[in-house]
Amino acid sequence: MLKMSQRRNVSEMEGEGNGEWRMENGGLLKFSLLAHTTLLFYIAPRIFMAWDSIIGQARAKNLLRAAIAGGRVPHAYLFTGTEGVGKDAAAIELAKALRCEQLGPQGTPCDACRNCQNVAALQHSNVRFVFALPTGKGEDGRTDSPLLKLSDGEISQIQEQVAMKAVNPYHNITIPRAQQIKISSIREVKRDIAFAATEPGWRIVIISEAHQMGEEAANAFLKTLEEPSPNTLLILTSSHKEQLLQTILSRCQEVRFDLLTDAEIAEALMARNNIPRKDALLLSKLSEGSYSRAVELTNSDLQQLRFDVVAFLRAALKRSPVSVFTEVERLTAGNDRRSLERTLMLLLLWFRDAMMLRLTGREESVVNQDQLKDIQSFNSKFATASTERLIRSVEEAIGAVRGNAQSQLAFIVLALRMESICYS
Amino acid sequence: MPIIHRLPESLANKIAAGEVVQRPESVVKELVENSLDAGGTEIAVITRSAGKSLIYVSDNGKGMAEEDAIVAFERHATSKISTQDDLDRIMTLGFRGEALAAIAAVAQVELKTRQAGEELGTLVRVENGKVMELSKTACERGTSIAIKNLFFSVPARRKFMKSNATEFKHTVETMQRFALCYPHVSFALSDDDTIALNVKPSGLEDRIRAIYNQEMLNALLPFEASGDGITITGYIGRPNFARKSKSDQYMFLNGRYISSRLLSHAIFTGYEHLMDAQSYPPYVLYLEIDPERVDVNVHPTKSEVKFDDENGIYQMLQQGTRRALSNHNLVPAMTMPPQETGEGVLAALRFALPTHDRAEPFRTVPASPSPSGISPSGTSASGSTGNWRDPQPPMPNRNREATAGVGKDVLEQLFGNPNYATTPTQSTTQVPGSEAGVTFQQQVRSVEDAEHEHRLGLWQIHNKYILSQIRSGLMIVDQHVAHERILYERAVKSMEAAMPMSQQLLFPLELATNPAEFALIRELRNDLTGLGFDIALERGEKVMITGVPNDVRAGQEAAILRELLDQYEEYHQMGKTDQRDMLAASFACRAAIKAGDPLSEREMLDLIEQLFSTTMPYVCPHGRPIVIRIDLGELDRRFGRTS
Amino acid sequence: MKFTVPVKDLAQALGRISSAIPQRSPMPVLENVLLQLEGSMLSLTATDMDITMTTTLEVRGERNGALLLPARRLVDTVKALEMGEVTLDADLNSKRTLLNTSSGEYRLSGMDAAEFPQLAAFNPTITITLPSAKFGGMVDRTSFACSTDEFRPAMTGVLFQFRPNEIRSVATDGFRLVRVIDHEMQPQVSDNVDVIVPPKALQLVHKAFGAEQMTLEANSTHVRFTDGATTITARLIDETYPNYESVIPQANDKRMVIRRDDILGSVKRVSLYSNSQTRQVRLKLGGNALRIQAEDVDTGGEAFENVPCDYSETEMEIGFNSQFMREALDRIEADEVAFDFSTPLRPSLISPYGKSNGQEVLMLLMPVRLNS
Repeated sequence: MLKMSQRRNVSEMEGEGNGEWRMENGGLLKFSLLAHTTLLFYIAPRIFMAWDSIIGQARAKNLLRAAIAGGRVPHAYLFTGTEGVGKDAAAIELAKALRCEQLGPQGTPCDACRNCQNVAALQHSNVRFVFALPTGKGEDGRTDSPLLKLSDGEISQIQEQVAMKAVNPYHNITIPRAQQIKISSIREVKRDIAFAATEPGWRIVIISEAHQMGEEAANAFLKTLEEPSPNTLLILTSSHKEQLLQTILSRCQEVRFDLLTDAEIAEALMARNNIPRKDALLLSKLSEGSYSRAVELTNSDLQQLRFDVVAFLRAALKRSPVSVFTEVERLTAGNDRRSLERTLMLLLLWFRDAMMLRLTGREESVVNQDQLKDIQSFNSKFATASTERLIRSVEEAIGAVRGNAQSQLAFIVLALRMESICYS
Repeated sequence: MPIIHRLPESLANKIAAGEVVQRPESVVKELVENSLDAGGTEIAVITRSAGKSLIYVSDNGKGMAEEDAIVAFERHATSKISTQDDLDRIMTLGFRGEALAAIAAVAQVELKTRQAGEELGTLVRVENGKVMELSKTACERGTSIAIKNLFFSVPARRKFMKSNATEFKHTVETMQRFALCYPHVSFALSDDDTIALNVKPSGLEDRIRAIYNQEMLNALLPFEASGDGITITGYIGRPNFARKSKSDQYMFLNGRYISSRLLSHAIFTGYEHLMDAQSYPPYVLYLEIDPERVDVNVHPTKSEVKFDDENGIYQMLQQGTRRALSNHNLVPAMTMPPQETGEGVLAALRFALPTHDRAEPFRTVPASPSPSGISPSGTSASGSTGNWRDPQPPMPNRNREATAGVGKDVLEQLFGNPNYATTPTQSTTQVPGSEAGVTFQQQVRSVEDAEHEHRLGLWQIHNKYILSQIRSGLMIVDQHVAHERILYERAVKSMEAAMPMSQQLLFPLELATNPAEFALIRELRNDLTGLGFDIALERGEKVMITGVPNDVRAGQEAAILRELLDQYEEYHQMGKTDQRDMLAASFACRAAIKAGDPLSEREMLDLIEQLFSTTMPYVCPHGRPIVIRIDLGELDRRFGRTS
Repeated sequence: MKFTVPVKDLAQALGRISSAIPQRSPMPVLENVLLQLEGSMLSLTATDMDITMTTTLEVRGERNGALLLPARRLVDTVKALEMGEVTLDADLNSKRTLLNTSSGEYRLSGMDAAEFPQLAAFNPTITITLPSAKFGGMVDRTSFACSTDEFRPAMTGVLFQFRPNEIRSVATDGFRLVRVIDHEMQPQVSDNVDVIVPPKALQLVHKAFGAEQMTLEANSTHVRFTDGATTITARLIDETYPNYESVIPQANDKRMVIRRDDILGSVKRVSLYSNSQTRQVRLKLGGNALRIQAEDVDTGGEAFENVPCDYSETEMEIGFNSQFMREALDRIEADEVAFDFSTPLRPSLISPYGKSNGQEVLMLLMPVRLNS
């Protein structure tokens, strides 16, 4: 899979040119460097074809494939579920299937025809992918097209993000200052639908993270939902369903996307991101069911953090206030709540390992394999300490951090609790 | 076996204390009120841990005799009220006399007091409501009280105290109120090592400056109203200084801080549409009312009041507010600090409001040449702008023939004669009707040409603001709010007219509504027609729009009607009642051009022309400023041209 | 791909298609021009997915091929080149492209032509040859009245109705409507064909076409205009046009005939005094005279003019948006115009009075209800 660092190298290359990169997973990345933008085209590797490129989500996939095969596609879908579980990816796959020139059984796109490839590259004239955009200087929301007033820099950022989304449908499009799906984007959708299709057959509009539509945009979109056009499918995806207008919800057929299982995520990390098994297991436990969160974690210094939490636990059990405080300072220094939560999750995971080892005695059930010895010695030294209570105390600390508690205090309280549990 | 036990006295005190003494701030308030009653002119408050461990209040007032000092700790014992008549004429603050007793019930109290002419003062130490010590001591004239370990005997209450920062914030607010109410008294407040307030006796305006700053002072307009045993003086804030909280609203009744939603509302409505509903104008107002007309004993914290003649006071406040606002030029000018502060140029730019000779609110301020950065030219310009209801006669030398110069006239009237590049427009517009048939083409063209050549000195920046040169400097107009103001007034007028204008539609627009919307439209139908929406109601909750107001953008008709109804509902829920007014404001808000709409020069001219024909060109129906002025003098100073 | 061409020819050809290049697009491939060389024929194509323009020119071809070149850079370069000849030499494998002139070389990178969106094959159901000027006149007379409201998409375009022996063009924004019927251009179609054309395509046709004759081809989804070497293909608006015939009144019985220049001049002058937002004027009719008046309560402006006319019906007063009046009258080519009124709240009709030039022009205006 494509990694950020590799892509940067591309754009840092001097001058203009074209080229190809063979990806580690067998995919092919073609790029061309132009005056102000880098174009990337990605040809998916053979191993993740069609619906198999969606991790897990068997129920949602079956439902969609049955709808395609049975010709029962509604005029509007709403894909809901946590960020990074494959909603956009499924939307793109569905668009592929509807456009595919050689559709296989059970709505399986061929991934080879021009339609499939253009849809996958998000460059198909009948498939529109709509997402939040920044607002340009002096932009007239009434008359200007959504991109007209953006700077060249912003345009190439957007094109780059679209290209990354095409490479990896699980990519989370991030554009600075893009807070809203603009009314002008919705107008453009409306206009586009009013026009005859460029190519015959299905037209698909994907509104990614549809809750980012502002009030005006949502109301404008409502009109489009109310007047379905034949052969046109609107797919809304949203990780915050509750922020959508009730009137929009009621006009879409909802498809829920479940949290991914740890096993699914671990497998995907190994197969797609070339992550070694032990890391993949660890990451999957911390991912809270979201593949993209797991990928995000690969970029953090998780390894160091894992040792830091153990050091924290040691300090607590050493009954040394000074070293507890040093460790707490280290763990909480300059960290946002999200990463503090992650830190605590790592501790939780460690206790989980201890508990599993105690209950089953199976060493392979331990996620923190490299700390097996520590875990074993903890279990023998504090054989009477209730791992359940330890886990609960960590969970309480997570709750406190989420509830905006003073983070150092939360960690110190946790240290005291762990100490008293272990020595009771 | 006795069934009913008499509650012990200490317990009764503790229960009552809950009402009077809620937090360190209430203790400070009670004690400072006592100090003021005792005629103190120097009052110092020192707290530790925001008052949780120590509150120390000292004054230089008249002090107490020994007997009084002891009695002071007894409930309902007060030297101040002895007869029913006294109760009716309450002019001192601690009239209930329960303050000290209540405090003594929940803390350790040490009181030192000495009257003038006595050599030794009295020391009283009370704990748990019991006098533990009574002795003679050397001390300053006046009274000082130390309250230690507040709520030490009531752990439950101690728990209810908030963080030191929060508790102290309350104390600061209370002390600020005292400081504003009694400018002639010096107040000091410190907590641990923090000095939060230290003000010396002064006039009110210096006091305001000391507590806030010069900007706050500039933001205030003087307020005066009197009649029928009531006088109200003080200041109200300019509309663009509206706050999002009530924290800068001060009303004092006979020297006592009061809060009254009714009276606040009176002032708010006085701003009419200069202020939106979630905004609170700052004000400092002093009501002097004959105590016989006022009942102040309503709540132990003594800030809720009731009046005999609520309506009269309400009217006085509302009208006084209107008067104060209309007497003053409400065009905010941008001023810069008189001296370089060493900050960056941009950082030094900040907004403030001009004060004017006529409207000089603070007469005691020494006559510095330009206390708020107003240059002589600025003053003269404001002479003609100040009273926008009654424009000065037009300048004699302006070009009366100019057709396109209507806006020019308006600008001149308001801001003095602008230095337009005068292009002769001559008599091109005076087309003789009889010859029109032959030459009108040409002439029409020349009129249009003239329009083009006639550079008006209007620029649009960022598709948001219009800049214009005026004689006294530079004027900046916010196009959205300007249009909103115009539409608002037009909508009000239109609804008052019997048959308003309405562009008829070729294809009626259908609006699908739900029963509630349908009912609302039915209810508002007459006034909607007044706005220019011709509406037919059909079965199945269908609304057909057959005519629309002229000033609605094409394509927006149905959307605006719908938004209008939503906005109306919102206003309605906010408790507004005037249907037409709500409709007009909703309409104006929704139909106005937006920031980001590019305007042609002609459109800018039209906008400004129309803006200055409204009754309130400076503030939009929601209270935002429409126009900002930068005086030439300011620019000169900025560019170092000042001689 | 390799060819040599006079700089002037290439610059002109690029200029013709440049208005179809999107200024900003989420699809970067659209920021390219497609060059295709076959023998001595070079064709250049640009598209924004709504409108596609192709133009061809004669070159001295050496090596056939197709390639995408970045549009902005190519146009800017060719525009700035000195007069003379330029040779374009592209390596279709590396996509490196060399522009060679007598004084220097310019290198740029292209992209695979296959990345360019493929346009679906266009099979016209009708093909009509039209005199360009006449068709242009029809477009002029109608397209100004189009709506800009995306939420009534049908009305954002001009409706063309091809009938066996007439062509109609219609535009409306809900406040006014224009219908032009041309009896002279005989499309020779066997079936009725209705298409709604976006005005942008019509503008481009107007801008790019100069020849006397042009060809119009259409099917249910696309329309194509061809003028010699250049074609413009546009997606049609695929919506149902409102039933405009039903709103054109048939029984407006109050006719006023007036010199067009008289009323147009008066309206222009008087409307200067109308409220600049509403722009409305009041027409008072009676006794062979028309009084046009305007006032602006906001600024206190007021004006009126009396214009002689033929009107012998009962007196009436009716209000109009003066801008709509001006725009309509401006586009009527006749010495005299006829206004047909019914009541002050009903649509009024304006048409040229007297001989027509084979085109029947009808303008409909919705009045403004006046406050009395």
